[in-house]
Amino acid sequence: MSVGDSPPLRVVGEDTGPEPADWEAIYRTHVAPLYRYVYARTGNKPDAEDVTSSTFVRAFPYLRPGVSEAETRAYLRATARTVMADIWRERHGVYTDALDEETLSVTHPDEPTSVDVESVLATLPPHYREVLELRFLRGYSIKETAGAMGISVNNAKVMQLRALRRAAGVAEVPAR
Amino acid sequence: MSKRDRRLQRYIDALLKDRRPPEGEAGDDAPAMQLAAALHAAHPGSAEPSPEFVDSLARRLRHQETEAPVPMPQRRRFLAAAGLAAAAGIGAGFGIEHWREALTEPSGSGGTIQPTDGQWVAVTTVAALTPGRIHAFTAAGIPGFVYAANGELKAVSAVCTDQGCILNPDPAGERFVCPCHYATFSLDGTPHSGTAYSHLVTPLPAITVRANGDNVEVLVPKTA
Repeated sequence: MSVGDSPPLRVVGEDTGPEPADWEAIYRTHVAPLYRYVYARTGNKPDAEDVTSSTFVRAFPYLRPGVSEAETRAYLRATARTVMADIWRERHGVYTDALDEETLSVTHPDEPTSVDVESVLATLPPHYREVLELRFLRGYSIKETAGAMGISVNNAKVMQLRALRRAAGVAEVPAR
Repeated sequence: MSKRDRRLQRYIDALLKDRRPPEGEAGDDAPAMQLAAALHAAHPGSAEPSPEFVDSLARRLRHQETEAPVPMPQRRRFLAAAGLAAAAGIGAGFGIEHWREALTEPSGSGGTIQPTDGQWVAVTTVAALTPGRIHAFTAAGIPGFVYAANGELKAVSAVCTDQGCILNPDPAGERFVCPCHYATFSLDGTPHSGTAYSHLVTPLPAITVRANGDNVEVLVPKTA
């Protein structure tokens, strides 16, 4: 072990680099839950990775021992919501300060998902529910969806848009 | 289909391929778009971060830890985002000040580096640029990346357009990442939206590139 008064040596692994710092354990605890939280709101991998990265970069000074896990999680999520609000503003011209927790009708703030998919689908007429299940939950192509439902490809295309708008409470004809 | 329908259609198409949705005013379809994202995320097994991503972000953070604290860029103005700490349910004692960039648009395209008095300099060979490979070079003092995409040679500057730091390709070879503030760029030099400062960053300038026999050459200024 240590000799005389020399400070204790740190073990350095061959491949893993220095012993993980305090923040790294905290990072490892939170990265996957935050990614799931963000993915549930962006729905795609490139955005989920970018938002997760930006969030940890911004929040890095707060990844420290002594802050409770709940506080860290809340701070990461709030930061992620700000990053996502920036994306919506820049990309889609949607101005919202606290994106989405109020926008969607059914939310579970403590769950990684933003929406209770089951209850949203349950409110829809059967063919609307089916088209969304096939497209989004089972990953069917438009052609496969049309085949499974016995309708034309064009009908399937139109139906998925109508189903989505109905489920989100958006009028089919835009209000002017 | 109306224009509005096609816009929502394109949004859905991108999500279902797990791609970044295209830009475009959402209008009153924003809740439908957000619901589409949530529905796609409910697709089994799609929401886990890849181990490569988790490790690569850890490396970025480790780098950030060993470097000086990330400075706030001086040429930008910031607006405090009011109420964020309250919204997060964090007590005042936690002492977090959150900053948010002022609304600023990127200033135009990156263009192409066009030296008045140029020379062609060989930087690698055609054979070395296998698909997916990104070759970093410095020619006449200009750092850049060259790669082949769809049978065409492409080269872009490796200098981040934010503050002049030299970019790194990410491990997957899908983008360039700035080690200073983590701006990211597509391989074609387009800044990604969604990263912390992306909307303030201009695209990377292209560098003229050609195949000359077996060599890949870039057009750079003549050196003395």
